[in-house]
Amino acid sequence: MKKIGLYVNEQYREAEIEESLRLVDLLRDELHLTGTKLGCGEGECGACTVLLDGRAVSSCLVLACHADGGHVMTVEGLEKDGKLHPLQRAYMDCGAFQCGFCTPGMLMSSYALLLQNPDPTDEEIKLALSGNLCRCTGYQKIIDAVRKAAQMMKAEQA
Amino acid sequence: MSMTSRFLYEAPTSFAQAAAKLRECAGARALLGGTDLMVLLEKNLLGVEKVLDLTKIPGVRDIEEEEEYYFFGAGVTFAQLEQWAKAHPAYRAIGEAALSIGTPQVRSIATWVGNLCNAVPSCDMGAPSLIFQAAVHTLDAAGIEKWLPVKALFAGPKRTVLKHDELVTHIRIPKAEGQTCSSYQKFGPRKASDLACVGVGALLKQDAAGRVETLRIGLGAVGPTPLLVEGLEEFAGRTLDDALIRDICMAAVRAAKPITDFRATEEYRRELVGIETERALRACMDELR
Repeated sequence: MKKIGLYVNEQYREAEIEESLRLVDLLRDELHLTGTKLGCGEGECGACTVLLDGRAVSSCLVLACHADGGHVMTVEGLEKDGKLHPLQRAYMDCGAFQCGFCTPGMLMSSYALLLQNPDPTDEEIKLALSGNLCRCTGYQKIIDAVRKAAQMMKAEQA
Repeated sequence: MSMTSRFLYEAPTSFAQAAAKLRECAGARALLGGTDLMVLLEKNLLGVEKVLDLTKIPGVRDIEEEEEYYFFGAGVTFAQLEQWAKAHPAYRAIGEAALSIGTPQVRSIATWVGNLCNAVPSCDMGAPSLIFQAAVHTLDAAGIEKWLPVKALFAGPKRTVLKHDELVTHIRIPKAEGQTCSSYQKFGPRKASDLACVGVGALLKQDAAGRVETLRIGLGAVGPTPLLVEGLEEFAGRTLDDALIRDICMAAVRAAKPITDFRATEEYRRELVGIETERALRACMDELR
């Protein structure tokens, strides 16, 4: 067992964990942040995407111990003071989900993109989401939602 | 709850410390991005007792420049390489290969050194490493350091010549001079998150008169290890026209030693080597125009 400390959604959290624990297990089973989903467990589907130190990662491929001292952001961190993030609102407005299982991962990949590139082209959106699988929507509405969120964020900043 | 096999985790603060820990423990494995290792750990296939996370070693993600070389720390990720290559156009093949690997989430953490040390025949960084004459710096538990050309690193499918306690600390590539350009072309069924059926890297340096000065072609997924096409020196001094492109493609096809597997047949791969070599050469020409 190892004791680690890390920031999760800007809150400092400590946990005593099995050293072989993955980040996704730490988030879901120890910290009870079940917004992050576990899909394939092999880094192919993107359902477990979170931000680690500002970059999108598959939390099934990262050891929890590796994140010791780092900053993790999960889908629960998007909402601020009871207000949904523009990405979340845009996903709803555009109908960008059906079953919803891929949505947390999609949102985090979208968030990571807009963090680096506030005004992405459709090609850049597709590239940023190329590590996230959705079996329901056919993707178009998700791409629409990211484009819309970028516009909303620009309007809110203006 | 995870089905991950139980193992210990340590984050050494130097490569020397990590090498010593590897010597102490036959069941220890080094981890960089972990995007390959974690999948194997999850399936509990390796009998790993201890994981040594090398990414906490100071400077491990640094990219440095000296007079003759660029140096890349073992922890330099594909996301870093994509950015670096944008600022260094002669090394386009490195950026294109990095971008072709896995998903954005994988590229955030997966590394050049990890890609080479896994030594999968289809590894996308193999061909670019060969055409740029990359070398890896290694350190073992006895403190012996050396520079090893990437060409001599691969021993076979998923095997390198490195000993258990020998770690790659850096990769270096010589600085490109003059009119140099490069391209990496990958063929696979999907654009994202797929392995190469065939990968071809080309490096072309021309003289002031537009004649071929240096030409190197690297191949991936068509042999037990990534291959450098031999004998291309004979094309030096010629102008890269359609006839020469055809000759080079034939040389690349002759050098390929593909097998048939579930991804593609031997014949299909041979065909693809010619096609992708031509695409890589034409991309280089477009760049120099």
